[in-house]
Amino acid sequence: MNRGRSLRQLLLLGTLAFALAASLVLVGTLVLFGSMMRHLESDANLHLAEQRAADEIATSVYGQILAAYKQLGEPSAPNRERFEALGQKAYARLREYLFQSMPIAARLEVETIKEQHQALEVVAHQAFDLIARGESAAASARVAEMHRLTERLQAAMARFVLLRERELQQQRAAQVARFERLLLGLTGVGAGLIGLALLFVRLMQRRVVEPLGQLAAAAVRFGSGDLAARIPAQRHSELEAVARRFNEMADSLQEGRVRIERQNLELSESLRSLERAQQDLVQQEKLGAIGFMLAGLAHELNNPLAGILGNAECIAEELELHSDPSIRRVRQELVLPLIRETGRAGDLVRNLLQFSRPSSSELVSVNLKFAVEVAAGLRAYAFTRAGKELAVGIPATLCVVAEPQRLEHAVLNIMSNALEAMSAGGGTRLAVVAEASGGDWITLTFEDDGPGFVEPARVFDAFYTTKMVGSGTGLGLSLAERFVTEAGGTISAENRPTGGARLTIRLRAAVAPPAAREPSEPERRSRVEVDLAIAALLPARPQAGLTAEARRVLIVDDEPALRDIQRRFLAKAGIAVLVAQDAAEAVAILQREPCDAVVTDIRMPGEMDGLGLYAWIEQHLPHLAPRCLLVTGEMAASSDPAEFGVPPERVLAKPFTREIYVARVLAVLEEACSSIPR
Amino acid sequence: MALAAWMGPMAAGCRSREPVRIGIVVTDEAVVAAQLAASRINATGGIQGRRLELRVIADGGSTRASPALAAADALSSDPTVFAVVGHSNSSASLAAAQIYNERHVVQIATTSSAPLLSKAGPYTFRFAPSDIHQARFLAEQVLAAHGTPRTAMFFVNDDYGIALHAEFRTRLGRAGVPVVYDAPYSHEELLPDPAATALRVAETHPELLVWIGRALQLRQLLPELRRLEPGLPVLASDGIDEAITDRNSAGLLNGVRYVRLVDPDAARAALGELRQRFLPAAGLPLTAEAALTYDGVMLLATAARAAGPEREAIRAYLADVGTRRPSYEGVTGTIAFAENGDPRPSYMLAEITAAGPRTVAPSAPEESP
Repeated sequence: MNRGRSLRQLLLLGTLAFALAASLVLVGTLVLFGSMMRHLESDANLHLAEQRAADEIATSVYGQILAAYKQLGEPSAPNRERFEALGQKAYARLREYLFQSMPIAARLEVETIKEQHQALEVVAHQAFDLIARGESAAASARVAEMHRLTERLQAAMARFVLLRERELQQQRAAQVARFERLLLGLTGVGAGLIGLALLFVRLMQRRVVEPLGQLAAAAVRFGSGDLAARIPAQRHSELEAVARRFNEMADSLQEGRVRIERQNLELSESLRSLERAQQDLVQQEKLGAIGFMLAGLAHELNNPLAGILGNAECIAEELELHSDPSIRRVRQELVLPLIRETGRAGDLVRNLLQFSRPSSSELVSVNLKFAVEVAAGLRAYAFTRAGKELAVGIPATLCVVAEPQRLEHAVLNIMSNALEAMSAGGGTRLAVVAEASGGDWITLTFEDDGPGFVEPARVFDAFYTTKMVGSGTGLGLSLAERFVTEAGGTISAENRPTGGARLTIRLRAAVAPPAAREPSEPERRSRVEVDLAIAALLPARPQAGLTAEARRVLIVDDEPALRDIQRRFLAKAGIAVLVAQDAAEAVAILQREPCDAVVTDIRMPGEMDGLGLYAWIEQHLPHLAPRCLLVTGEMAASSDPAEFGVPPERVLAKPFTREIYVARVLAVLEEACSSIPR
Repeated sequence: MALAAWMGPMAAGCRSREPVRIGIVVTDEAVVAAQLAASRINATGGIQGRRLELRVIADGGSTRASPALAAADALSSDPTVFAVVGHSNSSASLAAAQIYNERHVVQIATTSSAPLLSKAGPYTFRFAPSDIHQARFLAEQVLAAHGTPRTAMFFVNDDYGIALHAEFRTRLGRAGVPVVYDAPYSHEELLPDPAATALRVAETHPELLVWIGRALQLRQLLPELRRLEPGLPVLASDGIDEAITDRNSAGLLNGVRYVRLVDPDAARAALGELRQRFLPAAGLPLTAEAALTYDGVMLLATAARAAGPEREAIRAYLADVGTRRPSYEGVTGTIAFAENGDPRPSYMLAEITAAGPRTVAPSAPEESP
């Protein structure tokens, strides 16, 4: 793990090495200086001693010479003893040189001095004896010899002093040279120490400062947001540990940042989903409000439509019987188209009713053909008016898993989108086809020959639109995509190779109802639409045994025109009619007079509406309840007759034709409604 | 490279056959004894297979420092010389000893007895005891034989005579021996007027003449003095024990008693053998210095055989002789060294007769001071 020495060890070793080197240099310097000082001191002492010895030798020798001459002139025992003592002193001092280191030449001079001194002493003794004996002539010869020896002795001493001086000079030169060498050595060692210190500093720079710089740089980069910043591997355990910890921290922070970014994305996605859901809710709310408005509008339209239709039929019937062909032509050219267009207006209102009813929010099996045709019914007129063809080719047996209303809304949006595209950019036809694919899936395809998508990949983006400002919300296809996705299917958009747009929806195939047949109209539609189905079936049913004179029907409607139309229809059929303008009046009539059947509008002003009247009848005239027919133009769920226990076959939707109305009333009178297939 | 590898052993072989040398700085007679010793050594295998040679520098018994220093310089500068036997007197030995000790050459001084030589250094050994002991021996002889005689004294004014004279004079003074005449003389010069000198001595009416010096000047003085003072006993130091003493053909020295370190005529087999070899070789009887020189060479050869012919090894070997090593049995007797390189003091008194010197009073060895 440790790839090298630890920083602490390096610092310790470096410090110790430097301290050791400095200590060695210091100690070495001290030792050298001490040695030099001792040497100098020793030399100085030696030279001082030598000087003293030389002085004493010279003093003794010259003292001996003086004593000798004194002895020669005036012999005395003390003087001779002095001569002897000085001689011994001189000899002793000379012999001290034996144990001193000196060159051979100097030693030779010392020995020569000694020998000359010894010879001088011998001659002096001989002269003393001769003087003592009064032999002056002989003594003079010895004195002359003394002179000669003295000169030789002095010469030897001079040579010795000169040699010693030279030696001292050499020693001084040697000491100077030694000192210079020492200074040079110290300078070199000092330079070496400085070099060592510089090396150590360089080493510290490489091993400590630069890694710390890397650490700082990485920290700065990291702090500035570069989470990829890392510290390279270090040579020392401490820095390696720091680098490892830093890198681990960086890894952790980077991972955390990635995690946070991912969570931010998820949060943003959730926020966008929430916004989309909010938009959906707003849209749903808008659609709900539109639906509610459509329901009210349908009610308000159905009543006049019912009046128009009834009156038109009455007019047509009257004109049919007229003898004047031109009058009858009026029927043919004006009234019958009026009846037809009124019926188409009724169909449109029914489709609006179907389209605007509340969603169940449940995935159920939906007949695809019916759902597409509901939407197609709403847009058929628009296509026709725009000169475009809307071709729907869907087998009646295909069922898909979906929310019925959202499926219808999606199809309607796609159709509207296609119509608008073709109207703006050309194109004549929208074909809607479906087929089973792979058994588990149903493919629903919309193909037009319009200009195609500008950006097929973006058509499902919310608020993406190529329409002019104010012409669209950009939510239609987005909502369609949402619906399909939530239903477990897929939706895709592309441009056809031959031109135009293709939009493909894949939805899971649903299990068909137990009786594998095409659902009847009452089964496929809401209760409000039952009357239409019944109306469609009644012409095929016989009106056996029904006599109008034998029946009296109470008509309850707050609309005078509708009351009059219904009265006309029933009167034409020979049925006695009582009319009431509201439920209260109807109750009064029923309490006063017998009736065979009651036809009442559901929505009426006052404390009691049609349903309330029906409930009153069930309670007070139960025998009459099966013979009640409730007429309604309502679209709202709250007006659902089923909530009051009213079977759908007893509900008649507005507007209605005379034929249907009469047939339904007769059926009620005959209590034959139970035979109506469901 | 190959040549060097081949030449290496050759050179080593050549070196191994090179002779080793001992420096000899003694009198001519002693040189003969040294040569006899070398012959014996080489006849018995040399020194570790190498021939022993002598590098002889005859000093003729000079006491001057100049030739002694020159000899010491030459010998110590010769790397083949691992030791020196010499010099033949104290002054020469003292002068040379400083060089030998500076240059780490073993010196065996055979007859040098100056007390200062004990301080010369670890490379200096000698066979003659310090004159401190001889002074005592001489003083004892004076007192034993003559009581407290009026003593006339001559001493050679060199390192030998000065030290011995000073110590002897001190002892005589302590013993109350009157010194009626006391004069130095020079070894390098003859007495200028022996008759006058004898007359001056005679005028002091001496009862004993003590001679601290060598035989040459004594031979000058003694005839004159005996004419003036017949029967005057003469007691001399070991300085007169030299070849000239044996060549006492005129009988000038007869009757002189002197201190002897070695009796060359002692009844010792090895000594006898040496006497037989020496006499034909030197043409005179074996002297004490010659016998001691023979022992010096033999001892050095023995040391070189044991420790190798290296200077430091020889010094270490000799320092142990008589202490950590057994004493050496030479022709002159048992040789052992004290820590300062001195032998144990042992003297005998000899008298010069017409037939030559004869030992009259052997002394028991003294303990070193």
